[in-house]
Amino acid sequence: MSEVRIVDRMRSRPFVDKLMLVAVLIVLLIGLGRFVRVAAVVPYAAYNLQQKTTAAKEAGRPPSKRTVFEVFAEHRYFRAWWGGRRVPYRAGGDYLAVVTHHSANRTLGTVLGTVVERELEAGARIDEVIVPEDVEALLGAFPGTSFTGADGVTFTNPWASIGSSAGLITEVPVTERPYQPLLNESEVAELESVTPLSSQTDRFLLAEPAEDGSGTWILHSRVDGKRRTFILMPLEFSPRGDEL
Amino acid sequence: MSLITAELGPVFVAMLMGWSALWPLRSRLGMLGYHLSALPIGLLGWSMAGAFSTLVGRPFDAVATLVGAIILVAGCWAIAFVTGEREGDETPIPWKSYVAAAAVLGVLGLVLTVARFTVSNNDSLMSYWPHGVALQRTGMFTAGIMATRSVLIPSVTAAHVLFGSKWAFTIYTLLAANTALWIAALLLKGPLARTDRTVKLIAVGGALAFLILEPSFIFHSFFVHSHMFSALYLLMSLGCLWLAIPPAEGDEPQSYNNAFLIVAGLSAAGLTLSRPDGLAYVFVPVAVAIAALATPYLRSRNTVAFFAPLLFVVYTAYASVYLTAGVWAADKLDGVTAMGILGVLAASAFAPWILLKLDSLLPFRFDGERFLATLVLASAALLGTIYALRWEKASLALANASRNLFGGDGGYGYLWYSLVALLLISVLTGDALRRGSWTRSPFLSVLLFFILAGLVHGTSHPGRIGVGDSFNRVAFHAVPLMVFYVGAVVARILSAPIADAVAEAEGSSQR
Repeated sequence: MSEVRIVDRMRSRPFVDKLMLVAVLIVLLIGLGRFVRVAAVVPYAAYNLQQKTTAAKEAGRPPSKRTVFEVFAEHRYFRAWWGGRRVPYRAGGDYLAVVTHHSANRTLGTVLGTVVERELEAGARIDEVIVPEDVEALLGAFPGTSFTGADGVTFTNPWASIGSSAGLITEVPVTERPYQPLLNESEVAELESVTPLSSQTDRFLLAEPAEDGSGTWILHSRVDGKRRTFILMPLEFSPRGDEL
Repeated sequence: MSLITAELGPVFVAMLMGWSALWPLRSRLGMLGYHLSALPIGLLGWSMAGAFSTLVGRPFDAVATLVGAIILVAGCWAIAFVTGEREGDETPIPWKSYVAAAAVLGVLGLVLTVARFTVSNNDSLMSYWPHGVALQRTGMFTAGIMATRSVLIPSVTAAHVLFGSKWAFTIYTLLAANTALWIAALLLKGPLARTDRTVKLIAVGGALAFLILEPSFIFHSFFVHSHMFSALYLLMSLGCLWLAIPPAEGDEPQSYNNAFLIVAGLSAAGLTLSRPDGLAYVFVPVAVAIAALATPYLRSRNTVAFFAPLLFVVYTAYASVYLTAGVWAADKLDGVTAMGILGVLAASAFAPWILLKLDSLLPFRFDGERFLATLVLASAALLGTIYALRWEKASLALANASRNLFGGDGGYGYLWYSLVALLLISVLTGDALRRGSWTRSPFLSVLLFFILAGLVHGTSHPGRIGVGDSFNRVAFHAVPLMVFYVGAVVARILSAPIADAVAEAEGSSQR
């Protein structure tokens, strides 16, 4: 059956069948168009990054550590297409996860526990884990507090506090350090200068905070010879207030 | 062990388990059906390994793996024997196809493993991974696993831990590729089977292009969660049912392919064990199976072919927990509720005969196709009643779901507008409810899925606004199914001129 013959026959198809085919075609073209527009950002991001790197070198400044993927993931075309979902990251290395403030209370203990377990299995001797001193500041409020979301729903935060989550890291001596819950940019810079984490660790900061946008945390590890120290740092400073 | 061994080891072992379990069915499944089924069905072997380790109280290790594989293979072979689906005199599967399937899996898996792209959320970090690690060490399906995650993904994760994985991620993208291939295979073997190459190319190419360019599909391809598992098993179980019991043509007797019925039953088991609410969603393929089986040509071995593998896998997994941990208490899915649903699942196996009896007793026809439509209407009425009685909570759930799916908050962009528009137009074309077609059952399946999802999510909690909302993510399970449905409608429209031409040619030759 030739294509010409199919087209000839299509002329006699009912109107609704033609409408269906046209609708499917439009949907496909929209999807393809959106994808092409987003894909076109990749060379733009690469060019943009290269220009900035060159400019930084010429000015005698250290080049940006951002990757093409990070620049791409922050572009508005990508963000509009991706729809606010979490952006894929590369598994492995020191990085474990970016955790939203909303989820930090649920995840922190597990994150620390997983890292500790992983390192112990790898034969490491873990001397200390830095954990926040102020549980309430970490969680936004103490477990059991009632919250009212933007949709009017009141819910209680039932998740375990660090104290009980720390059961995952039993046997590991814990040193508590002063904790600053919400840092501004200069405070982050100050912290980075005191503990030069970014020069010694891989850092993956992924676009906007996912989901509710109430805060982003990042897990760093500091390498000092055979010794590694982990710290979970807040990186988002202006909670939108949608959830917590 | 290396990253590659850790990521691909469990995948290839699952593939071997799948090939072995489906070995007696290979000719009846055909080369494509056999190889595409192997990985998803083989993954069930890891659940059987977990059930064994739970029962005997040993770690999830190589011995448990071996016994799990034996349980799966022996169960499938026994069902194949009982249903008469053994290797016959049909075309054998060429050995080169095994090499090709393994090569495709290996190369794709290698690229994905080296790329290391993954996405995680609280559930991935706090639940799936720790549950998998704990399961590998203790070998126990705990009440926590049963209530919050069900057994399949913790078992697959435990298998990765056994192979030395630090984070299991490649399997999700491989299942996404499998989903896309299943859509192509279902279209080619089903509604496009008797059409020409150009139409096949247009319909399959369009369906695949739509799916793989869709951000939610790409996201779930990397997301360490239950959604790609559920979407694949839902599509597979329904698709295999349609291939097993295709629409009868004219006055021809209804044909049954028990091999595809067995794979449909196993896939339904995978759907059940992928999430705790899989126990609800499994009633979509169960309803379709009841409707498809209830014809005057039904024989008991056809019903056994679908229900036996489903019950064998699900009951083995749940029985291991009931026997060791007892009836567990939980907020989400407690042991009593699960037991009740499992009872209904077993009772469903008798439904085709009850339907046939009703059809003969009632003053109006009540065959399978009418049953499915009636069930959808009755379920919708039930959902409406429950929502009306709990309107305060339900209205909030509806508002949140509406904002997520259509208002942009759920991150779907124009997807649901497109799919709903296409579904509505398909009602106008008549494909949605045309009896004896490839499109009626998929359309009703989509409706039934959303009714069940509405019951599960709308009555328990109102959800929340944002991409992380549970219903928002669960809605994705139906996307591959809806893509298949739209592809089947397009296939019918494009094939119609050819069918007309063939009929015309046959008519003129007879004259």
